[in-house]
Amino acid sequence: MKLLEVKDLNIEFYDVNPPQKVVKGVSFSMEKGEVLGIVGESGSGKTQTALSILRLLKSGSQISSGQIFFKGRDLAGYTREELQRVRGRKIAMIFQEPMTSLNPVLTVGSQIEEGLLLHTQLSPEERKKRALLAMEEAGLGEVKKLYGKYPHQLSGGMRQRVMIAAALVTEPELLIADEPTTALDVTVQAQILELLKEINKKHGMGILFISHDLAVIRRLCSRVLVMNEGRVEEEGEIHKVFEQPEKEYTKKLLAAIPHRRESLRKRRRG
Amino acid sequence: MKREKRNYNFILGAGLILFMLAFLLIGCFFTPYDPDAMDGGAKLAGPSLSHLFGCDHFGRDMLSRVMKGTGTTFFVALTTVALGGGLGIFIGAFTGYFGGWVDEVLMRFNDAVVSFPPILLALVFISLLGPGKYNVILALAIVLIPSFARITRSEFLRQREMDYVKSARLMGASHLRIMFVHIFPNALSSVLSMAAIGFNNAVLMEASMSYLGIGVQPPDASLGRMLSESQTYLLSAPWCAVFPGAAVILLALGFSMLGDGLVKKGGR
Amino acid sequence: MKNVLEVKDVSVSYEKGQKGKEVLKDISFEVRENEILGLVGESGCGKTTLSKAILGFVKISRGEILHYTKMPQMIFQDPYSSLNPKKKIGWILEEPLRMQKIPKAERKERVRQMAERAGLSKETLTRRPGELSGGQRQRVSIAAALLQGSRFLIADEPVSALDVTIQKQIMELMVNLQEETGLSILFISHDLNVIYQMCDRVLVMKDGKILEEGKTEDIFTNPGSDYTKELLLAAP
Repeated sequence: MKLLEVKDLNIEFYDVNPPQKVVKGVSFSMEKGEVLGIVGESGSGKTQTALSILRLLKSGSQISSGQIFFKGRDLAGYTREELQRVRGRKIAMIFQEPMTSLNPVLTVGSQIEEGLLLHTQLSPEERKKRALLAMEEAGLGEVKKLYGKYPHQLSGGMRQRVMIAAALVTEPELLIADEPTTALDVTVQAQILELLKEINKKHGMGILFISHDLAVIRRLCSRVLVMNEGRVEEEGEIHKVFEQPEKEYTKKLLAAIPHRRESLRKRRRG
Repeated sequence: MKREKRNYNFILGAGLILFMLAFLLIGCFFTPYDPDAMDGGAKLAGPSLSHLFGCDHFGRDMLSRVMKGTGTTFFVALTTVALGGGLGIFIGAFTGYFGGWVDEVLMRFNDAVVSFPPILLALVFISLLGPGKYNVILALAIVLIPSFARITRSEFLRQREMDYVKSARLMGASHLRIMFVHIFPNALSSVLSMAAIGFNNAVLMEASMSYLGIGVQPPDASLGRMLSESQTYLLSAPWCAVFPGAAVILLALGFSMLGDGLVKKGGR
Repeated sequence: MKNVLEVKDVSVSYEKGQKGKEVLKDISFEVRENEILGLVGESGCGKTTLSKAILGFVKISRGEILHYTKMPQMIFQDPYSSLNPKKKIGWILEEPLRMQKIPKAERKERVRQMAERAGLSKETLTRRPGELSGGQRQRVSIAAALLQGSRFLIADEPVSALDVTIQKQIMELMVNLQEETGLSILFISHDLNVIYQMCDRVLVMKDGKILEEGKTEDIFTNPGSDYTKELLLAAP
């Protein structure tokens, strides 16, 4: 059984005139424990696709047709309560901007425990124990001290680790990560990617990683989906797509990545 | 791309103002009777075909007087907003753009003005300056300054941090040019909605002051003055109060709706 | 080779007199004629403060900054705040010429030529910034900066907010225009690969200090500091 299966997904913005299709017939699937990347430029529909899985589309947009199966069951058939349970326990999501995805007036600890509070009957002591464990796993040092701190006291990288800890604490089977490293410095970005890899290996948690950055996708994912203007342009093993891209668009995208093989300067003075 | 919701406030407000404007403009050139001519035989005559709005206690034609009075009230409101708004925008632009001690001094002055109820403040100025149309304008203008200054200042504070302002500085544009050519167009929509609200307030305050007898002086017709004169006959000749009152309400409502409409337009 | 800018022992601290709170510490470097000098560093290293200090937006507490050309023009990261939203592109591009008191007919002609060189269509000139894409806006910023006529430009993360394909186009545009005009650019970026592709020399900054300075090839093949090595490893 597939972990996630998306079939002929269409999403449209219906509050513009005329309604605009932003995702057009997207299909893909993920095995248990797989790390799948979705890469695309702005307006490619990658974020809408990710949001639609947890039914988190903004008002004004909707799934116009298509199905999304989580472990073989159509998410459209879930009741509101079931969906709520899936959101917290089975599928977690982290976003680009860790400052706005954390509540500034709640302590780090209480935000990490939130998932446990909502979805389990654990005692407060047990919750705290698990939260501290998740924080350690997310690579946060001095977890006991951090537990009582507030988001603004942390750096961007640490905030993203807190988000990851909050996602990990309920041991979900799928983590959807929407540009989680885009706002971070390169060295921190590299650390977060390492962390995600480790977590994937250790827990067999599937990761759907959305990014505009092909280099980042390459470091983390085993398979990639290239999206452009709402469609899947190309899909395949990461090395195959990078080394022998089939579609023109993929080639163009690959050629545009800044690299250290050749300077753009025609006459760099030696 | 967005779905345009009809901005009914804006449309209705603009319609009302245009209607009143047409009404008073006609009044400038043509009134059915001389608004100051008294007709002893028609004292407190009710509305009829010859006097559509009836006559007041001196036998003056109400329709003509309402037309003239609307004109006076509108003129007072317009000049008040032009004067008070102009000064307020200037102060707000300087304080918002430069900040520092200029900001401190002018905004404390502003706070001082705001801390009094506007009508009371206007009364104080009138008692110093004496009654009369132009003194009313001056007093109301001073009262209006703070609200314009505050809204302009907050816009300028926000805009001055934008990169395009830095670009203009680096190009060598002068501070005045940056303030009024570069930044001001970006503050315009909030200033305009403020102006509509200011108009509304000016109409009501002029009417109240004339009602209290310290505004526009007779024989000039003013809506507030007419309301005040009519109260003795409120029961026997209600038309003397109803028509000027309706004109005040329509003007105030028009400007208020226009203001809301502009806020919505700008806020989008 | 002549310099367009010399920065000598410059320190900046936001709180007066506190040496520990310095955001820039004894920075010295020069920008030469006809070069793209890269400035690389992570957030909080002081690179934006440095550019502000050069432009006089931030007071320096020690040292001196010598300009040998007209005040440089700046290209910013966020193309959405760097253009006046209420003005048409044509007006925005004419503004630097207006400042130089150039007559209207000549202004129009020079704007038209520059727009063409920057890859902007004629129709763009009658639009407002809100109607343009991020890449087009950045082209407008570059054209406006060049019209100002300075021989020196500061570009603060000019391609970071753009999609990769657009990013490539803007990088190529900047390189081409630089090579045509021979002006100098201080190119600030956090992206080592972008720096590699564009710059002749590189400064590496960390915690308000310049860790190393050298020719691009040298820095990338033979980094002198551990921090530079770490940066190179983090960005393959």
